[in-house]
Amino acid sequence: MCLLGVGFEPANPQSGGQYHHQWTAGLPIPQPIVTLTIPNTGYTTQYLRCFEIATLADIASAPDWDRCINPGCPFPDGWNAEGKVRISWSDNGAGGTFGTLDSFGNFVPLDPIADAQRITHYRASPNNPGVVHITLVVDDEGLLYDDPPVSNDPSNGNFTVWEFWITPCPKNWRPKLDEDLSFAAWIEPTTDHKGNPMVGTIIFLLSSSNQPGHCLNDCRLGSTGQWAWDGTTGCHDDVQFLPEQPNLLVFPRDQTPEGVGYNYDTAMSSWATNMAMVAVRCLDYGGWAYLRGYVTGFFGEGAARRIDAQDLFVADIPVDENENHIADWWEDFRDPPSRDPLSDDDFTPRGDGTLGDGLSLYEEYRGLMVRGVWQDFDPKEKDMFVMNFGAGNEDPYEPAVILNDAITSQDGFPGAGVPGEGGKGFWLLNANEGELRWVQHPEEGFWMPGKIVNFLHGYAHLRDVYAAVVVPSEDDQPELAWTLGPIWDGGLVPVIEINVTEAKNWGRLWGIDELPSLTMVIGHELGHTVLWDVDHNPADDSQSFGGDGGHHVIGQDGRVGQHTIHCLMWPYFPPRICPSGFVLCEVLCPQRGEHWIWQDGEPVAPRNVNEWTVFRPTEFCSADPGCQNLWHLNP
Amino acid sequence: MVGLRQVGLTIVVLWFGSSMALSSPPGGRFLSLPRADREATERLKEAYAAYVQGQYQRAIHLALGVYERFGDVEARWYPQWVLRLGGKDLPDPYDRGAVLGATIEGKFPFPLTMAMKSTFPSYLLARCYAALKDTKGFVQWAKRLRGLGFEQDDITRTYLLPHPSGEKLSVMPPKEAWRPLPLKFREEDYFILVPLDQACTVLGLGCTIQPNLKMAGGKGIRVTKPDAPNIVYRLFLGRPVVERLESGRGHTETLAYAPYEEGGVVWVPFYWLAKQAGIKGWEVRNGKIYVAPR
Repeated sequence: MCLLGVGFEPANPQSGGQYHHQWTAGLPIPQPIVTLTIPNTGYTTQYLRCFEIATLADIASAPDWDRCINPGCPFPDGWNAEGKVRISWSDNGAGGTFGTLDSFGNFVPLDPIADAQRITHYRASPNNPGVVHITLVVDDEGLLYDDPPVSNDPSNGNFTVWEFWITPCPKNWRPKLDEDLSFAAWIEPTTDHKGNPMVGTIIFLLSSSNQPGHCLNDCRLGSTGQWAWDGTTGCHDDVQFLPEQPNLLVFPRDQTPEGVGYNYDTAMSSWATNMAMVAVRCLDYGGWAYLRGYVTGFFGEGAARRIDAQDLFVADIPVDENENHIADWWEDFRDPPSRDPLSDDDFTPRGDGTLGDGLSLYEEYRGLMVRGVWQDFDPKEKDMFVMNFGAGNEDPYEPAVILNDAITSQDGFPGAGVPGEGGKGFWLLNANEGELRWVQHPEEGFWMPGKIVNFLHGYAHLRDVYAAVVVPSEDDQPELAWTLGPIWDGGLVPVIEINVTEAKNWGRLWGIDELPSLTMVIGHELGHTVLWDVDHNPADDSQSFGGDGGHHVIGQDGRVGQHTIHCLMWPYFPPRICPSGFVLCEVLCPQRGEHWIWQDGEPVAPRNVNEWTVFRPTEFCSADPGCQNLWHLNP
Repeated sequence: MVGLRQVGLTIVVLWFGSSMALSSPPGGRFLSLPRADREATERLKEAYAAYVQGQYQRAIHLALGVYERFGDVEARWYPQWVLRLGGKDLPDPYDRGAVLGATIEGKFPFPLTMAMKSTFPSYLLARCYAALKDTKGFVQWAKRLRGLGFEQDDITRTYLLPHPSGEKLSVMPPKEAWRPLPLKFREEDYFILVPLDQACTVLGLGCTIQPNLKMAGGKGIRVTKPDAPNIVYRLFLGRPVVERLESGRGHTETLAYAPYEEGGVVWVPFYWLAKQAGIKGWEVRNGKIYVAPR
């Protein structure tokens, strides 16, 4: 430090004269002894976690003793001490940072050489665990003899920087029933600076959602096995540890009265270990969970740090950065108009412009069982559900009274452009894939049964969504078929009662076979469920054309309504020679401007009878070709 | 004369078929007909069974009797086979919502809406007269139906549809020529039921009845006609349906009365078997079933 080994100073303050010292090294500068202590405690430590801060200290002798060999030196036997100064710090490439704490206790990085004297603390590397040796080089102040700098011995300043990592959830994963995910948590380094294995007890804790069932309309009620308790209530976790896992002890939070454990939310390594793998099982298509790992060992304890995001100490399942409990991957894939889990902004088909189909974004994501197969939904497409109570049964076999084709055929409702092109968004469910809900008719007072498809809802539920229910009947009423209410509102229920025999035979007059006839009747009734309020439309001019409530001869912009023989909701079946030889006439054919005339109680056949042809409906309503502009699900 | 009848029927077809081509105004329009008392219900049940079994004149007589005494009252009931299956769990048949709810709830092994029966005089009368091609009677009762608010009724279709086997007066041989069948039978809800195996032997139909748990009702019941061996009819115990299998394709038709098993005997409505056997007319007389010669 100081270049001079000779100096002048008052040898004796009382003598008043000058004395010339001739300093020798005397004793070498005491080697520093570097220790680390836990800040504000005084406890020494040999283990630092990544990014952890320790107080540095040199506990070796503070002064450097030099000796004056000139006779008459006033110092006792010529010995005098001078201070040591720290001239450099190094962690030898371990990636840590030297510094000090400011008055607020915040770590302030400093240059390990230029600011060596000011350095009081060490912050371990954020991501480079391993064995570390701190080297401290000290020198004397150089006021007396200028000793060469010395550094601490390899036997001190040694410690281990450790970290406890946990893997994240795969980014392209979304919750699915009975899918397992594995997570690893491990300690680095594997051995410490003394050669001891870095092992500890690793504990995993799972904090999960608990939606009822495993999707909007299904649960394991009545099943057997480990997860049979996954019923209609929300008292079970949607993500749990597998109960039996190698090298882990897994504990349930609860037990059934029969002693069966459930809600397995804690897993612990069976013995001290350096690494543990844990498997979690997803029990809900909309489930989410937070997995945390903890370790406790001789080196310390703490929560596992995410290997991919080192400022995070929890693995979110699934990956959900906007924390709306919807997997980011699914949101990116579906690209919804809004990412608000409660949003309901489906916009296709446009219909009357009303957005939504009643299912929230989260519910579209969580999905429901469609004829035994789980299905999620496009948040841009309006969805509509229908059930067929005349579909028969597979086992034991029972023939269908109403073939599913009569509902799903492109000749009927789906093919008429509703809800979406080619029936996209139109879902036929099994009869048991909904929950019965009794609704009292607001005016008549009688009770009507409806079927809710999202009855196992929990988080982000907007409203109950009803399936249109098609029920076969042999009642004297309805004469052909009727619809009790619209699809969208709990005030009435979209139940369609079909007099099957009548509906099958209805088209026979026009040479239409049973299935197409039934298809048209059902399609027409399904149309009512999405056009329920048309009669309340002031532009509806149907009465002037002899139309009746709900049969849609729609006026656009106040114009008299238009209708065509292609229209599902106002199908014209023109006169023709029917199989029995009877001449049938129709009321009018607006396209031709022909009217059937009733005179003096006798019918007058229209002109050009032979030109009239039977058409099956190919579009939904008559306001314009292929129109869907009145249809809505979620007013 | 026939031509005039045809014109008359045409008028009604036009009336109903035009503006009400398809049904169901929002909310539906229940006819709030008075409820039939026990006596009227019994007569209407009998009239209904007579209509289904092709006894149109008798059905008219019975329905007209109810109409003249009580007006258009509605009877709603569960057939015996339903009561045997459903017991006390069956909802009030007059509570349409409850019947619909029980169907949707799946409490019953078959849609209750198909198993429950209902009718009222005008409904039956219009259909009976249509089946008899009696235009005057038909128009009268069809107008009555419309007056009741049955605006969407497409009753005229009945005229054109194949109707159940039974009397067809214009082609029926004299009843003196009818012969009794050596066949025991029982009557339930005024339906004539016969043991399937015996009936098949007597009527010349092929029948097999085998335990089969994979079939609804627990038995596989097949009926074939000798002149159409490629067509198989499947019946199901406790289900008012019959499935016609032809070239591997199934076609479901409804039965007015479901087959059931008792003491190892499968009982089937005779009217359906008679139709398959090509019997044009039949009736029960002096404790026996008499059939018209083929």
